Amino acid sequence: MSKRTLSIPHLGRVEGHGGIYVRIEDDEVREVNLEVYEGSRYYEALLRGKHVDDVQGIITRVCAICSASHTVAALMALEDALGITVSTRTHTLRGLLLLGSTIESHALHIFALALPDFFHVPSVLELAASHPREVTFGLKLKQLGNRIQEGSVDVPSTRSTRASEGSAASRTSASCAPSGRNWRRRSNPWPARSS
Amino acid sequence: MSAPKVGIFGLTGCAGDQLQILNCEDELLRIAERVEIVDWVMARSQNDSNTPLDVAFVEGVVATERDLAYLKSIRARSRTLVALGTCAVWGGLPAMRNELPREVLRREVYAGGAEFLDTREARPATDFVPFEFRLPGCPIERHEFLRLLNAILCGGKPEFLNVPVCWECKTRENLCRVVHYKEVCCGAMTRAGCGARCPSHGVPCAGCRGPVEEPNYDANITMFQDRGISWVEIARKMEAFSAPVWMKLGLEREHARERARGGRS
Ligand code: SF4
Ligand code: SF4
Repeated sequence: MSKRTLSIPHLGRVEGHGGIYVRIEDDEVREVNLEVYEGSRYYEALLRGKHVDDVQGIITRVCAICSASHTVAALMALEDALGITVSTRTHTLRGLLLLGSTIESHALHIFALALPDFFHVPSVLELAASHPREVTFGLKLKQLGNRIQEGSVDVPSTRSTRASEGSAASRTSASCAPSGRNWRRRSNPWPARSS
Repeated sequence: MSAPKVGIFGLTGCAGDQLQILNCEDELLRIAERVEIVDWVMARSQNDSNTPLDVAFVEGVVATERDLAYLKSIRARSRTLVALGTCAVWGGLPAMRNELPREVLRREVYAGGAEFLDTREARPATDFVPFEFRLPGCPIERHEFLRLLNAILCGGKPEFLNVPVCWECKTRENLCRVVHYKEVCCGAMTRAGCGARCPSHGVPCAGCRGPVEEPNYDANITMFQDRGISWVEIARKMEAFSAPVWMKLGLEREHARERARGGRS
């Protein structure tokens, strides 16, 4: 009888912390232990007593990679609870945000987290040495997803400098918010769109 | 001379600061030319978890016993240790309700289950071991990270703005959220560097980058009170990010006062 064990104490190239242990006997997998040692942050409990205005800003920090999904999900839940219907424009902008997030996280997953396995290299950095063109393309794609989410996609006719060449201030200046500032009034936060 | 060995680590957190490093899409490959990243669980396999490191970056709070042991082992093998992000520097969101025992939080989220959880009060990594550099931000700003890395590699110290968010907000000519909209904005007490991102999008600052050096509480209290905003309202807002440090700086007293008056805490 042949016995083998496979043990990876810290799984690499995944977001989150975990380890895996596999016991194989006679080419048959007998035992699989997946251990997740992610610390608890108890976000649900942290939200108690917070103002509705502050919920999205907190919830979006649940996970960096899918922060846009958490943002939209939290907003939809709040709107549901408060009986608010959003405008088509808001709805469309959220769709754009989510698409940006999908592009970014898929490019990250394919090029930085998954592909190195297929080429038997430890990370995207080694992959860049052997396949510079492909990796550069992947990173550009990822950047596009980020720029959509940040509202800083280059529009050549209106912005001549590349966003990454400016300071943080200029990078965020081309914003999705109409005219960039002060569009949200506290006095009437939920206008007549309420159903 | 061989390239400096670098490790990038995450304790308990959202991985946002590590992701910001990966988000330096234009610079990532050039970074890889200047340093040798030998241990980065999020983005590498076959990590070397024993070699001594020239520079180590740590993100997140210590929220499990495992985090603490991991942090100590990283400190022991690193020459220069850098805290990345508000969680690592100040405690961030996970430390927001440290006045509540973990047991209460656990029961609220998991009801009777999850007794096996390795959990302890969430505290900033900087509470446990000495750090050479601290880079706050939720998440960190890419331009600040690149500047810090560059300075470390050149053997120097990076220059960062030591002014509040208001300073950047004014240079962007925003209408002030406090003066014009009577909102609670933490900008005057929060460290700049984000380009006043939130007020520039019409939302008051939530204080995600943690306190500026020597925040002027008295002037802030006056500024808010003059506009009919109570100090407790701002305390509630500031409680979200970097709560432990604000509490140390006197918010706790204000909270106790409010509770004594029978208000919501
Ligand atoms: S809006 Fe906030 S950050 Fe801007 S000037 Fe006013 S208090 Fe300062
Ligand atoms: S304006 Fe305030 S909350 Fe917004 S990114 Fe800057 S420090 Fe964080």
